[in-house]
Amino acid sequence: MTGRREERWIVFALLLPALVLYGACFIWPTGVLLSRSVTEAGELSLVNYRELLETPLYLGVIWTTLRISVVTTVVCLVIGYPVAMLMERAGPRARILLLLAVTVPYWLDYIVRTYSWMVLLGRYGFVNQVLMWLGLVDVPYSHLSSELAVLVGTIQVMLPLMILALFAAMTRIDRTLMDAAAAHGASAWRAFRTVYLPLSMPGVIAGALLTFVNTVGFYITPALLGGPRQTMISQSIETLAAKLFDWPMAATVSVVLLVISLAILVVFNRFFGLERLAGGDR
Amino acid sequence: MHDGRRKQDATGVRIDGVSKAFGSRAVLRDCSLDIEAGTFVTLLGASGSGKTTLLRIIAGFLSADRGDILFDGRSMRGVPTHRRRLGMMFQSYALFPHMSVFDNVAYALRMRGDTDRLAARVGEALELVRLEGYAQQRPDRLSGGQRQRVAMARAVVANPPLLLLDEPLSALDKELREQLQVEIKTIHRSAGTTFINVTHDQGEALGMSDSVVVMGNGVIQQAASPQELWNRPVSAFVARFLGGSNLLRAERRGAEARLADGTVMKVHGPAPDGPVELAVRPELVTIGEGADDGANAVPATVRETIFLGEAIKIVADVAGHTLEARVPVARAEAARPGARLVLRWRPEDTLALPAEAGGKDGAA
Repeated sequence: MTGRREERWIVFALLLPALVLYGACFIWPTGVLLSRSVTEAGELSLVNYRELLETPLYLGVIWTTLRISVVTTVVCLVIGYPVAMLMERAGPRARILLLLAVTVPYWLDYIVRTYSWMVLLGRYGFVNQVLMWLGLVDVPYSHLSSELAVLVGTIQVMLPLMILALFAAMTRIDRTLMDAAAAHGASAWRAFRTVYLPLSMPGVIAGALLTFVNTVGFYITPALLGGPRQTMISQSIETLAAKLFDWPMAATVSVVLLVISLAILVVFNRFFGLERLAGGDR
Repeated sequence: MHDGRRKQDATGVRIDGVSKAFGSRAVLRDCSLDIEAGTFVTLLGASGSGKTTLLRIIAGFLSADRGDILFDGRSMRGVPTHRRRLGMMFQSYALFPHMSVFDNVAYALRMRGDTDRLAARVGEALELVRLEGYAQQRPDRLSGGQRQRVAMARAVVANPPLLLLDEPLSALDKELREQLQVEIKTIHRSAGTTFINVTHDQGEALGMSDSVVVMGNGVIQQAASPQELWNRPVSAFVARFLGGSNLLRAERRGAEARLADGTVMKVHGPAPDGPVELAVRPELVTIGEGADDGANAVPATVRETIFLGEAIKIVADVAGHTLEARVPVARAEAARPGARLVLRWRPEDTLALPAEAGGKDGAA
């Protein structure tokens, strides 16, 4: 039995660095954040939250953030699903090429990708040149500082993640199931709807979750491609903390961001069961 | 099966000069075959013989490069799988993991819009495969044998006039396999529809089918009843694949053939003069006491004897070949390892078959 106990100590010792890191870099600062958001002059108080709820600016930022995140998630899903399906159905060579096409941009730092969109979408950028050449616009005008520009950026950054999540789930679908569906009377569309789509749902959920939670926390992309009206939560936290030195308010907004992310996880877990994302069945 | 609804509705299938290649590899070469409505036909072959490809072309999962498939005389070119009125069983069961047993079976009815008395008919199909109490279970809770029974219920619930079986028993253990063989045969008899089965298991093919199609190297080698195939293989390839036969190389001239050791024997069979292989079934070989009855006789040296219960298997060296004989225990007293004796069999049991080119084709 001593072997058992020794083993436990070894496991604990091996985990120690991770636990220390986790505690020091996540639990502790989160705790501080939380306590700052609910104290006022050393007293327990919800005054920060009241201010947040009474300030249209903050509510506007939260609404913008949610809107951009939802649209990004939906568009990534709509674009990504057929691409992932194509990858899953392709032959081995085509599959590798597609996989590279999807992952190479993903390996590029997203700041680089965002800057290249600034070049493309700017007043004398590629997009405008094409539009003018096509005669669709007369006067060059900047597409930057708009919600569309932010969305183009966030979608491009998040799309590979969505595709990979979908692809991973799709490769686990037994191809004979589609044969079985067809043999028993299902047209290609009905086979897709009744068999393929439901079996790819773990990928849809994983992809949507990753995309949404990541987009909610975006900072660089809206800062570079958007204008003041596209300010997202992370940007306002930075402004509050680093420019206005309003730490309690920065903490409060941070807690809101954290709560939104957790709420999404809880909702997904409630309806779909997160353990399914790991590939286990029920 | 389903009282009042049952139609004697079976598809007759004609395979007409079908060829198929994957890249530069020819998988099927000009295959033609008529499958009579209502029969149980098995495509038998080793892996790579083309049997699965042919079944997938019949199902419509693949299209032939050349040739055509006809159902009841009607070309299936351009007819998608879901309009071919099939039922199908797969080696991997292919049950929908996100549906209950009930929904899996009902699938074949719902997709065809054939939903009156749905619950009752699904219930009857489950009863047929003896899984009445399992309707609400998920497939992953069932054993392999139970899963294949659910697949069977799904395949037959809509009374398809053609049932395709893609090695449905090869993932199961021996006992279950034999049990399901009987069940599938019984269902075939009561449904009266056409069954096309694919397998690499000779015993299964011979035991279940009205007709067996031996395939090798993308070619139909022989299509015949199990008895015909067993007694009258048309080539050494078929005899070798079915197993059990002794095959002796010889040189044929007319009604006689000469073995490598100079022994001459009377033969018959389809092979032309020249190099042939003589097929002799082990159970037709006797130990010769020298009676001059016109039988073929060869000197043999016994290498080993194996007691089988009702008979003794004698493994002997004959003219540079290994020959097996299966002799009743009482008549095998002379057979001791090392003994020299004479083995005999009748000329009509000596089948001269065309020798395989270089003997290489056997490794299909």
